[in-house]
Amino acid sequence: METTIRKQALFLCGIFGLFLGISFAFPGTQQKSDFSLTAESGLIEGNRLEPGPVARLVLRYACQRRAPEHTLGIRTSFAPELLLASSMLYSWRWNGRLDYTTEINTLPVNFKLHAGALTLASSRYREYTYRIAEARIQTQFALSRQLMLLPGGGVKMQFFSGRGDEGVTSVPLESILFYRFDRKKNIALGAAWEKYFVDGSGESGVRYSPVIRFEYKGRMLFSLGYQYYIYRGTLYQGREHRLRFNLGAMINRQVSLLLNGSLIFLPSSQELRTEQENVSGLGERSNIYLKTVYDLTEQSDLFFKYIYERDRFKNDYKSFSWQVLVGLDYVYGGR
Amino acid sequence: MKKIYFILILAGIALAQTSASVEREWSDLNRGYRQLKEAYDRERAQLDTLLARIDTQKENPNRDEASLKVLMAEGLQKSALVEKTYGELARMEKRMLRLRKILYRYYSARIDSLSGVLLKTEPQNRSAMEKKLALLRSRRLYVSPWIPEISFNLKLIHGISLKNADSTERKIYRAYLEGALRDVDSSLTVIRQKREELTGLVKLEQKSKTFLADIEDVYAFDDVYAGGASPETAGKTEAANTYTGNVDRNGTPEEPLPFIFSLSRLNRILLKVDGRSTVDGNVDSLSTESYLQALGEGQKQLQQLRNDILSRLKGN
Repeated sequence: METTIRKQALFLCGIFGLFLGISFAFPGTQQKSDFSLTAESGLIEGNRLEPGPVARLVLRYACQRRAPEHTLGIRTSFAPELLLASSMLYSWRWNGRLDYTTEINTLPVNFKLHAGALTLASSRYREYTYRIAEARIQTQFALSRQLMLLPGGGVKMQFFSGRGDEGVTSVPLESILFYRFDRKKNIALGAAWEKYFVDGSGESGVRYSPVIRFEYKGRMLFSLGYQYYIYRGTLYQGREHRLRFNLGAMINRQVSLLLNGSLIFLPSSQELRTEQENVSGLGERSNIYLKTVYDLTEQSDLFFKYIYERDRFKNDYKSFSWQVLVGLDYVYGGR
Repeated sequence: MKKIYFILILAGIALAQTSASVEREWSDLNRGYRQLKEAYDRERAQLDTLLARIDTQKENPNRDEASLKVLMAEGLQKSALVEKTYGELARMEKRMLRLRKILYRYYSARIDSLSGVLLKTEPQNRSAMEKKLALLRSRRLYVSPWIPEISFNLKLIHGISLKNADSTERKIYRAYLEGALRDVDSSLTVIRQKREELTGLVKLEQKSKTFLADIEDVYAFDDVYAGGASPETAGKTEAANTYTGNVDRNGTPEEPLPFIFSLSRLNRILLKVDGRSTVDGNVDSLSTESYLQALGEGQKQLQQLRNDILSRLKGN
């Protein structure tokens, strides 16, 4: 156990050092960075693993360096979690992103390179370890001040066990046409295509979907995205609706309300197939995150959160959980 | 094929002419609008007088029917003229609004590209480019949709000196300055309200982004990167999204706007075309941050004007 923690700590320090190294080696003329800390605690209920009291800490670091034609941004977060149920369970998530943008001043073109990795590990249940790594390039062509074309693609790898022997590698490509009606409203229309390969089994498949996203920024923020996935290949055959929504409203000067959620559901005629790959498999899932924020000072906020998550696979297997949390956000730096 | 070449050549010529001809048309139209507005006010006043005379005649039991008929015919003619002038004014306003948008976009695009080039320019060559930028910014402000109307003549305000005026003049000038002050204050209130609203929006956007990052970092399990990049942020990095600094649409840091407007030029800058409703007008090509920054600039200009009026009122 101690060795594992030491290894993890060394790994994180190494990654953090690497990020800092890249950041300072980049020939930027302007730099901004900030640290933030979130502490929250509450209760988890439901039929999922280990319901009971929970305590979490999230440490974040973000840094950005700019040169005339390039921008480098890094963002990393480390989130240890302690479940204080019948038996103590410690787990952690690490998320790191590196974004690099270059612009060609003479042309309305913009390239963005993104590399990200996420690890979710548990002290006891190694089979629940989940890792994802992604590299993506996105180009942006400004066709006019209101219309943009955003083609992009990359490689994504997902591992579903601590040993890394079960996983899916995929190549996502997408092309989006973005239209800004005015300062408050915009719409994105496009298509996404993703070829995926299941490691070890030689099975592969493809999924594709139209992409629709609408965004409104007025007295409140609102965005709604919809994708209709069609799966083809040896592993899955089926269809899936995906909805994402985001809402933000200010109740008064100090209080704001934030709501975010996603919904995956299947066409009514379709049968639920598997409980395994809930990453690209066919199952129903809904997540709702609600946060009420009270501004305490310029740097700190008090918040209350309500989280609801629900999964359904193979028609009979259902799992759900809800969490009620209270916590503090503190930002040091560029707020 | 020849037709296509011809169309392309015509389009090229049309594009090349855009800025100069639109600027000329804009300035001519402004001049014409002011003259026509004055004529309209005059005609309107004449019509009012005529209508009052007709009413008086009608109420008179010993009225002269023949002269009443003449008056009414004259009134009808005048009324048609007023209607016609009003129609012409409305048409001009519509055209001006359109030109204003075209020019605003044109100046914004030039400013964006020049700002980018400026960063790479040698320090010794910067001065000329900065002057050019300043000129473009002043022109853009002239066509900016968020600058409210100031109905007082700023040239006259600058010429007023209470010290050297006799008692009657002082009385008139004081009333004029107080009226101008009220006007500026009311515009400042509109801008302040708008800024407050937008500051709230920026804060809310910031909180929303933090919340999304929070979900990705702590709770979400699958497709954590599937949110899709919005062009609103595509020029910036994820790390940059945690800031609300001065970033223009190309993602390059925007230089702080220099204070380039002398008060004598403010008269030309603060348009007399649209009413205060233009504060809510179409600023489609601006990001929330840029709009906020522009409002801040407008507020700064008005504040300076306010201070000037106050100092004149005190007799300095």
